[in-house]
Amino acid sequence: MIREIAKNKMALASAVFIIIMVIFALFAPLIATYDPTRVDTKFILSPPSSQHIFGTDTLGRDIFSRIVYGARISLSIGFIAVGIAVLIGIFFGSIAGYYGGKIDSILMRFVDIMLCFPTLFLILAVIAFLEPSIFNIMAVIGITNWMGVARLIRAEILTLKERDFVAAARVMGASDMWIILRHLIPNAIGPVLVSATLGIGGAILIESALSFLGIGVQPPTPSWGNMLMDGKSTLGVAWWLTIFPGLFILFTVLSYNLLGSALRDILEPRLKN
Amino acid sequence: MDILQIKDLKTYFHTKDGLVKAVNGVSFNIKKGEVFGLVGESGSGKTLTALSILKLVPPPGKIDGEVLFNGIDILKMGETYLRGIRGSKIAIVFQEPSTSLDPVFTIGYQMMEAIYAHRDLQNRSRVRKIALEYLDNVHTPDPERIFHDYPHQLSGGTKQRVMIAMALINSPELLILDEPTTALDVTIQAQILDLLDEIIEREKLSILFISHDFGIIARMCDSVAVMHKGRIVEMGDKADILNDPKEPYTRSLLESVKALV
Repeated sequence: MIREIAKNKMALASAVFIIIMVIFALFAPLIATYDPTRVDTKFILSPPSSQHIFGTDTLGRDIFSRIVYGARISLSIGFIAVGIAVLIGIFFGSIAGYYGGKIDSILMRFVDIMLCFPTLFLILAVIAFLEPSIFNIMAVIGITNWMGVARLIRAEILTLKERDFVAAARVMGASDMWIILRHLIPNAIGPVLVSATLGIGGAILIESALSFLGIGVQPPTPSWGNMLMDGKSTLGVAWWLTIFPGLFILFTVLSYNLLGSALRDILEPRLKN
Repeated sequence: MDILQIKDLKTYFHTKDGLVKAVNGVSFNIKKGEVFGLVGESGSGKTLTALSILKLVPPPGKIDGEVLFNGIDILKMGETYLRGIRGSKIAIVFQEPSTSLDPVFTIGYQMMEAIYAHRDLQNRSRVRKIALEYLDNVHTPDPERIFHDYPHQLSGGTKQRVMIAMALINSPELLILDEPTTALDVTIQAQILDLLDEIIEREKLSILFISHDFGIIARMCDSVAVMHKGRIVEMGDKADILNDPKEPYTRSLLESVKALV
């Protein structure tokens, strides 16, 4: 699969960008040039220069360092929120698909009900109710986005459970749980991988929106979203407060979307057997 | 001593279009160490008989009758008991090896899974050794390499050897072979039958051999039962059936075989 990604130029560029962002996130202390929360009154609102490559904000904090640390927040929220969504989705989807019948009907109606909620407003409401901690944000994004995964897994399992190797496993004495966990889910994971990759982009956007509105990651912790909020008032005089976080959000989400699309192309023909 | 006694086995499917009597009152016994053949055309109920023995018929099928394995009616037992028997005391090898293996795991992984399912072994390298040993027993070419291969990398004949190895790995008392060579070409078919001869000789297993090919049945089996439309029409020693078939259906089956081995 890695070879296939390398062959597709857009996928390769996306993957490289994402890897760079992951490196930013993992090695933030080594890459950032300044402490992201360090207030420096001598350099308030200075444009990009050799000292501060992306400039500074209204409190003199280095934008580049804030972007690097912000990568940590945005990426980890993206991964974990999607991780939660995938786990919940696999749980409901596999049970519904494998057992079928009434269980399937009940679970799928539950999915339909959950899909009726406008997720962004649901998230806004929940976060306004609870405190906007990073964990709460991850949990809420995860809990409102598992439905697509559930449907995908259910669809795959419905076809897969009729396959001979499942019958062969049963004949060997495997229990239902074993068959679901060890045989069905690994075979069904293809579309979920695509959905998860696209989902990370979506989760990053949701987090940015929440932080921009002020109910996401709270300052002084830098997140690309709350950096946009900071830059809103000074957009006319100091473009660098807004443009840089905006560009990073743009390219990161774009990369995940392109990567997800490429994965779909790579995995799709193989799924046909 | 009978290892398997089937008494009036009925497997009916209650579909919305009516009642399908797939297995309609089948009775036969298999002696310990015997190779028992079940012949019949496609759709006669042979495979369902095998699945019914292990209570593996999906709904809307319902199984009725008695299946006495070593004297115990396993149809009356619960799922946990049956799972203990499946793959360990009674093993089945199906017709189509290409689809019997999980495509996303290696052969070695799946063989080890078969061992873990029934034996309480903790030592991974020991389990690995057992798996390799069985791959060698069924004469797969280059067991070490095959251990790390995925199913799509192997030929049909090799895959069927792997399935046979997986069936034998927990030393079953009864081995059910459901058309094991039908999906293979004739030369490979001969090799697999030779392998089965060797296994029968070596392990002294009891075998239920299902096929639509009377030639293969004649070669492999001691006793034969002929199935047609869910019922057994004729049953007896191989020699009796072959030389003196009483039923017209049996005779027409025999006539359709080009040469008897």
